[in-house]
Amino acid sequence: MHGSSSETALIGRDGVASARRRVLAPQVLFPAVAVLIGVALVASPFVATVARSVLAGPEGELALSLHNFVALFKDDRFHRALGVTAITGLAATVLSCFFGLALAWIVARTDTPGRSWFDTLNLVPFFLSPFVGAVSWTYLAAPHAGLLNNIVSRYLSGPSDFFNIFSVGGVIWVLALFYTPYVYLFLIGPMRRMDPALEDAARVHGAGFLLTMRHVTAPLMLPALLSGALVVFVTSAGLFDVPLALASSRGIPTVPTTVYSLVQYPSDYGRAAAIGVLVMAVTVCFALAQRAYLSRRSYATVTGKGYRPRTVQLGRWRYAALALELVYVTAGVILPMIALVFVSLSSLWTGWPTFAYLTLGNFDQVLFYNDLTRRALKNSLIVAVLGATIGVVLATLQSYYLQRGRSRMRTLMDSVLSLPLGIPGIILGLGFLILLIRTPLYTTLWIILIAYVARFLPLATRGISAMLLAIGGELEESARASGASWAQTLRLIILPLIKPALVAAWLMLFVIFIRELGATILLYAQGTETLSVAMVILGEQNFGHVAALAMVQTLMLVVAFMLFRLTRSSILES
Amino acid sequence: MITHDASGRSGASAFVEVTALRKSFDGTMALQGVSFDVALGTTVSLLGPSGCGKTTMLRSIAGLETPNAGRIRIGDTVVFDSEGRVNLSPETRQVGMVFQSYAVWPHMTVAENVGFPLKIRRVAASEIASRVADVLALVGLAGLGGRPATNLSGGQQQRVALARAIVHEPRLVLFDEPLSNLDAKLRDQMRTELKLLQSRLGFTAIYVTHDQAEALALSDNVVVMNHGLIEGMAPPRELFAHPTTPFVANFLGFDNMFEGKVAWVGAAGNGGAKPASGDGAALPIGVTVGKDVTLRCFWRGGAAPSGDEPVILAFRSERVTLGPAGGQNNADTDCFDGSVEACVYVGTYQDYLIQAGPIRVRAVGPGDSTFGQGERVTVSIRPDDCRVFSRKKFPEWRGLGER
Repeated sequence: MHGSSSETALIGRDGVASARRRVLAPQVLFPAVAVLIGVALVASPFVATVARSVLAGPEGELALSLHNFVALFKDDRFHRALGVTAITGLAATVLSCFFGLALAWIVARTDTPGRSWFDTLNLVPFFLSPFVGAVSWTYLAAPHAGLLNNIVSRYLSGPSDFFNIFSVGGVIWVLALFYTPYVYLFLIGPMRRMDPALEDAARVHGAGFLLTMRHVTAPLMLPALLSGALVVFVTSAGLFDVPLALASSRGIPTVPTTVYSLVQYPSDYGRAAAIGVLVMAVTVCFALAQRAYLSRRSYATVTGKGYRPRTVQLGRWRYAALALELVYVTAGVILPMIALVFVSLSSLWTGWPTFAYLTLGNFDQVLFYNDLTRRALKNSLIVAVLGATIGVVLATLQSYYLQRGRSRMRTLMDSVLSLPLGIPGIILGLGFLILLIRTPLYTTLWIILIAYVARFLPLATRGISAMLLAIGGELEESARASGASWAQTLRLIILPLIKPALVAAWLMLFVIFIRELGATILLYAQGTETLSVAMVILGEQNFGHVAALAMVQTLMLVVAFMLFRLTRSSILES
Repeated sequence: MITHDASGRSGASAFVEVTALRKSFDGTMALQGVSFDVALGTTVSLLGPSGCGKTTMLRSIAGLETPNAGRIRIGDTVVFDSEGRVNLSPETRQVGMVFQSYAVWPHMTVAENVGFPLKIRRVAASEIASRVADVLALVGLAGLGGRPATNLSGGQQQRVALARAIVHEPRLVLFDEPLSNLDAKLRDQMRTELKLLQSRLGFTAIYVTHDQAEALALSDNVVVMNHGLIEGMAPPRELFAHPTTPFVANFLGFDNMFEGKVAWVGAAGNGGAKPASGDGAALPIGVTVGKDVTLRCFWRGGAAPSGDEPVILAFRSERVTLGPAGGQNNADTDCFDGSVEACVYVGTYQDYLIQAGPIRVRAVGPGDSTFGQGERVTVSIRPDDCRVFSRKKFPEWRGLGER
C-alpha cells in the first residue's frame, strides 16, 4: 500500500532534521523574540517600581516595609495633588468630549462650509507638543503679561489679569485643547461609516431629527465616545508637561509633578515608587474596565463599509457650527502659533509685540551658538530616528505574532503588550530610572530610547496589526504555496502590502519622540538633554530662546504631520 | 472502474497518499483520521458541507496547517509524517494552489503575480516573460500582463490565481473552493474552462467544494466528507447513482428520505421489476413507509435484511412522476395517492409537496403541469430509483437536516 519501507525510513531520517529546523523557523522565532522584548519592556519597570515601593529607610539600609504607602496616605499635599489631578483630568475629558463630538459631527455629517479643511486642522494639535502649547498659552494668558490680557486691558478696559493661565482652570483649558483630537479621531470613523439606513429607518417610523439623534445616532456612537473619554482621562491625568508649565510654579501640586519633585534632591525614591504603583494599579483597572466594556458591546452596526452617510442641512445653524470650528482651531493652533512667532522673534517680550525688539537672534542662538540647544537638537533627532526605526521593526514582528501566530498566549500577550498605553510617561520613566540608575546605560541616550520604545511601542503595534489583519492570510499563504520561503514572503508580499502602515507608524513614533517630555525628564543627564528638556531648562532663563527652540521643534512636527497626511490619503485611496 | 474499500483507498498506485490524518482546533476535531489516494493525472474532489474538514484537509496537504497525526506523501516525497517527525514547509512541497479569495497580490501587476513562482525559483527573466505570456493566453488573459492586479473583475482575478498556480508546472494543483465567489453564470463557464484546461495539461489536482455539480463535473473521484470523516468515495457517476450512506445520498440530492420497515424479501413479491442492467447482486425487497405505502426496491451488498428490519428509504424528487388520482402499480412503477400541499412555480419546472398519510413527498413536475393546491394526485416512483439503507448500520442518522 505505501512505498517500500527502506524509502520511507530514508525520508523519515531526513524529516527529523527538517522537523527540528521547523521549531526554530524564522516566522516563529523572530516574532516570538520581539514579543519577549516587548514583555520585558513592560514588566521590568513595573517590577522595579513595585519592588522599590516596599523598600524604606535611609540609603544603604533599606528594609522591607509599607512605610512609603503609609506616609503617602498621611500626606495632605499628596491628597491635594490627587484632587487636582482628578479634577483636571475629568474636566479636560468632559470638555474634549464636547469639542471632539461636536467637531466630528460637524465634519462628518453636516454641510458646514470648509469641512474638508477642518478635517485636517482639527488634527493639528494631535501632532504638536502639549508642553509648547502650554508655554505658548502663558505668552497669551499670563496675568498682566499675556497678550490676551493686554488686549483686554487696552481695548476693553478690563483688568490685566482677566485670564490666569497659571491655575487649575488653565491646566484644564490647555489639556482640553490638546486632547480634543483624540476624541475626534475615535468618533470620525464610526460617524463616517454609519449605515444611513439605521437613521432613515427611525425617520420613516416616525421619529423626528432630535428623537433620531437621541435614540439611534447617540447610542451607536456611545461605545466610541466612551472609549475616547477613557483614553483622554487616563492620558491627560498622567500628562506631566502641562502641569509643569502651568501649575508647578504657582505651587499647585499634581500627581505627575509630585513624582518629579520627589526625585529631585533631596530625593525620596520610595515614596515616588509608591505613587508609581498606585498610578499603575489605576491604569490597569481602567484598561480592564475598557476591555470588559468593549467585549460586551458590538460595533457591528457601525463598522460596515461603503456607506455614504446623509449630510444634515444645517441652514442658518451652519454659521454656529463654523463659529465653533473657528473657536477651536484659533485656540488650539492659531493663537499659540502667533504667540510663539512673536516671542521667538522678539529680543525682549513685554506681553505686546514691539517692532523695536524684532530680531532673529533667538534662532541664531539656539541653532548655532547655544551648546545646550544644539546638543538637544542632535540628541532628539538621534533618539527619534533610531527609536522610530527600532519601534517599527519590533512592532511589525509583534503584529505578525498577534495576527498570524499559532500560540495560545496571543490574547494574553495582546493585553500585556498594550499595558504601557495608559501608563504616564513619567511613571514609566521612574521605573526605568530605578531599574537602570546603577548601570552604565544611565547617562546615555539609550536609557531614554528604551523608555520611549517601551512607552509608545503599542501605538505602532496597533496600527500595523490592524493593517496586517486587513490584508488577510491567504495573500501570504499563496506566496508560500508558490514556493517562497517566509523571508521571501515577508520581503516580497507582506512588507510591500503593509508599507503605508509602516510609514505611518514610523512618522507617529518620530513625532512623539521629538516632543516627549514626561518619560525623559527623570532620565536625562548632562549631555543627553532632548529638545523638550532643553526648553524646560531654558524656561527659567530666556523666553526668546525657549520660543525659538519651540518653533524649530514645531517645524519638525509639522513636516512629519504633512507627510503623515500624505500616507493617510494614500492608505485611503488603496 | 477502480474499486474502493470503505477507507477511500484506490487499488491503483497512488501519486498522493493521505493516511489517517487527524487535526483538532482547540479541542474540536476537524479531521478524525482521514485516508485517501489520488492517482497520477487525476482529479479528486473533497465534497461536503461547511465545517466538514475539507478545507483543513487541503491546507494540510499544502503545508499551511500542521495536522496532529497521520502521514501525507506527494509523489516520492513524504511531506508530513507525525511518527517520522517530518513536516516540510509549504514552499518546499512543490504544489500550486488556487485560494477561495483568489489571493491576488494587489501591489503587483498581473504578470508579476503570475510570474511569482518562477521568480522565486530563480528562472531567468526572459523565460519568465515568455512562460507568463503562454499561461496567460491559456487562461484567456492574453495581453493583460501589464495591468495592475486590482484593476480586474472577479472572473479575471480567478484566472490570474489559476495561472499562478500552474505556471511553474507543479506536480499537484490544489483548489480551495475556487469558484464559490463567482456569480452563477460565470461559475458555469469557468467550470467548463477548468475541465478543458485540466484535460489539456493533465495535472494532478485536489479540488475542495461544497457544490455537488462542481465535484461531479470536474473530478475522476469524489470524496464526500462529514464531521472530519470520509462518508464515501467513488467516481462521480457511481456516487451519484449509488450513494453509500444516507448522508451522501442526502448531500447528492436524494431529497426524499423516509424511515421504514422491510415488508418482504425475495423475488416472490417483486412482480417483475428489474434493477439496472448487470446488477445481479441486487436483492428485491419491499419497504413499508408511512402507514400503508409499500415500495419495491433493491438491496445491494451485505447480508440480506430480515423481515421488519428498520431501514431508510431514499429517492430524488426529480424521479417522482405525478398523475391523476387513482393510478395503479404496474411491473415498473409503484403508486400511492396523496394531496397537493404546496406548489411552487419556478418556470421550467414546478416544485410540489405531496402529503400522503403521515409522509410528505417532494416531487418535481413539468412547468406546464396544473395540479392545484388540495388536489388528489398519484405519486409514481420506479423501484430502481429507490435506495435503501439499514437503520442498524446508520443509527445516528437524524433524517433530513438543513444544509
